[in-house]
Amino acid sequence: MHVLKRFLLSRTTVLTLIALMLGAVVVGYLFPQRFLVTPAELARWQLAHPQLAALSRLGALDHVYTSPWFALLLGCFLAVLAVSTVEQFQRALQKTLKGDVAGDPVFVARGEEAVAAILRAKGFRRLGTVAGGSRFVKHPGGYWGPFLLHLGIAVSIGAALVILLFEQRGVLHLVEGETAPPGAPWYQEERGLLAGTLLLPAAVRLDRVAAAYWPNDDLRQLTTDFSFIGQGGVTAVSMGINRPAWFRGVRLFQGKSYGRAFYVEFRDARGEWHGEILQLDQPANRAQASYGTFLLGWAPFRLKAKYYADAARRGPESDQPLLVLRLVDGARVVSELPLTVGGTGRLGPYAVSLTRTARWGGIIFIRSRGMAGIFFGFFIICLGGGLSYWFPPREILLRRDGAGCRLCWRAGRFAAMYRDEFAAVLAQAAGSAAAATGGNPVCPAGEASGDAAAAPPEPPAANHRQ
Amino acid sequence: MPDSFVTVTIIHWSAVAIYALATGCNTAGILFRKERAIRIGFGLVLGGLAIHGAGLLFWWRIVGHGPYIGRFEVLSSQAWLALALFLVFRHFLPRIAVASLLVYPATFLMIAVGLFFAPQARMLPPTLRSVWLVLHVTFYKISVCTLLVALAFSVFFLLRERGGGRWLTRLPDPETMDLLAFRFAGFSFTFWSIAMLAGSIWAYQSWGRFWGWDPIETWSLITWGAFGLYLHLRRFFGWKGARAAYFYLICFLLSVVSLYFTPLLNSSIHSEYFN
Repeated sequence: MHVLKRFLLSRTTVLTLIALMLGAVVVGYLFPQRFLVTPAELARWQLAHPQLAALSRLGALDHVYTSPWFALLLGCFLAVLAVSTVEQFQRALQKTLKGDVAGDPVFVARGEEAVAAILRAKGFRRLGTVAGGSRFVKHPGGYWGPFLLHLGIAVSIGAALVILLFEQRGVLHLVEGETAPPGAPWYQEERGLLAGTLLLPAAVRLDRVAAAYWPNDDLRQLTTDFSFIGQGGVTAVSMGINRPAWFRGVRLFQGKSYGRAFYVEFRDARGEWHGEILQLDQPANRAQASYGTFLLGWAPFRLKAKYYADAARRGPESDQPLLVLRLVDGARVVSELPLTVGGTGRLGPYAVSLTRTARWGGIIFIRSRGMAGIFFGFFIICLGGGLSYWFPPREILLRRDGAGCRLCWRAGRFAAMYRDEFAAVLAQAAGSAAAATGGNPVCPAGEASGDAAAAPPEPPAANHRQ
Repeated sequence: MPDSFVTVTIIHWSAVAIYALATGCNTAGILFRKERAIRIGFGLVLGGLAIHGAGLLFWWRIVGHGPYIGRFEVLSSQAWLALALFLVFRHFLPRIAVASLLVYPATFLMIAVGLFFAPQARMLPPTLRSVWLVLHVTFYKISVCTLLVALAFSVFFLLRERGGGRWLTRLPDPETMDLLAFRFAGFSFTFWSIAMLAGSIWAYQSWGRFWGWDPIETWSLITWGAFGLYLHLRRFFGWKGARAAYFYLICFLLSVVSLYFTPLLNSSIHSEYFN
């Protein structure tokens, strides 16, 4: 156990793990990740780089962050951080209770009470007795900074690991009025290494997708109203971007994708009727179109579609969108037909009509434990960082020595930056004593009775620790 | 609206001119030990800060949101906050005053670069309306100040190490400069951590995921890791002096890439804030 602890706390282990984590992130950046690129893009990259693709498959480099080796690495990192945090806790507790003063004392020809008063005036507080002297500490909370900083990082990484392993996430794309039954398949699904499939908790009906725009056609807000339909009745829910909702332990987020669904009827030469719902993304602005390609199971052609938010280009949203259909045979355009709602026309061998349109939107369902840890870690890191870097503790041990007293000084961190503070304490004590006695009041220990320098000495170098 | 743009541009160029003048006075004051020149430089910087701040507030009023989208407002606000914070730090830690040799010019260069991108009013997308975004951006802006101070002392240390000019002897002793670089790198690490975590909370609320390995997120994490390495190497492996200063320069370059270059990638969901 002791050997394991020593190994985990070893500087080399810590450094190696940080370097490995960094390396993993760089690899994740350089190799295309499955969840960041489309399957077609990934396939193209694999064809262009066959050797790297083989390496990628072997080491799961195309999904670094959901690979077992990355989870293992994160686990090791967390273990090291946890042990280090415990160690930091013990150290902080010891320093708080027993003090952290070492080094050569400096003699001051001034009474203990008078020096104590100077120390108090400079923000030092008396915190018990050590080795026959009084301990004065400025910012004792600073001893806990490194512990809290490590604890915060450990909590955040622990929470990230929990999310990596157990998060369940599913995305639904629905058209207004459409209902997905409980347990319906997801449009898109992601889950942690140890998580099962997320089941849709109840039937969901999309009631309304409402988009608001700025004058320059940028999206101002996207709101989705939908209903959960179950044995307990109908529960209406409204959410928007940055306005998530909860339902039976599942958090619901507004999906970024939305657009319009076009209900198109096709009648072929034999009089057979085919109904299609063509879902297209919302165009970026009133002047641009969005595009989609559809494979029709009943036709030997590909159907390409183009959609403008408003046929007259008056705004980013209207009741009169324009749908342009194009029938394609290989690279050849067979026919093209622009349609507005209620419009009909001919598209190659088909009679086509656009009966109605409706908006479609996305709802993201997430069951996750761990986000609270990220929040909690955030606050601990803030506290730890503040204490570490803003309030480094400084400690002075004050011992009576005849008519004067001896002072030992130490700064918990950045000692060289606080030398002046101790020098000021000595100078103040010396100044008062000199005025009272007319003699030289300050000298390093051992020279108390000999010739001392006129200026206050620097605190002993041995006391300085970063 | 175009009149307002002209006003904002004039205010910003005025601030640039004042900062440039302040840099001249301050640099001359430090190099030739002219206390009066340093004081004039300090006064000019305070005046520039007030004018620059007024320009930012005016811009805020025009666009209706805080300065965190679009290159011009991001760079200008970063420059303002870096300088204001530096003056606060300097008040509590007078030893860092010489870092003004680098912080003052860095400030006006940032504003000038921002102005070359021409101020454009950008509407706030819904994903960017969150208090966590404000915290996320603010802590990165605070980081910029600490990064610059640590950079200044690392560079001064290296210059002094290599012989440099006589003026370098007027800077604090190498040990102090090394320590100041270490301390401000520690501040950067802490503020960077807080900024990253605030960003992950914002991302979770906006997109339902706290980390998406977006290029900016990835580079930010790489930078954070590099700073972690730097601090551990210094604290536990006794790295200091030139070796630590060179390593810091790498960390600083990484932070510049993370802050200013990765947002230019269109593949990033963050790109809407900087492009």
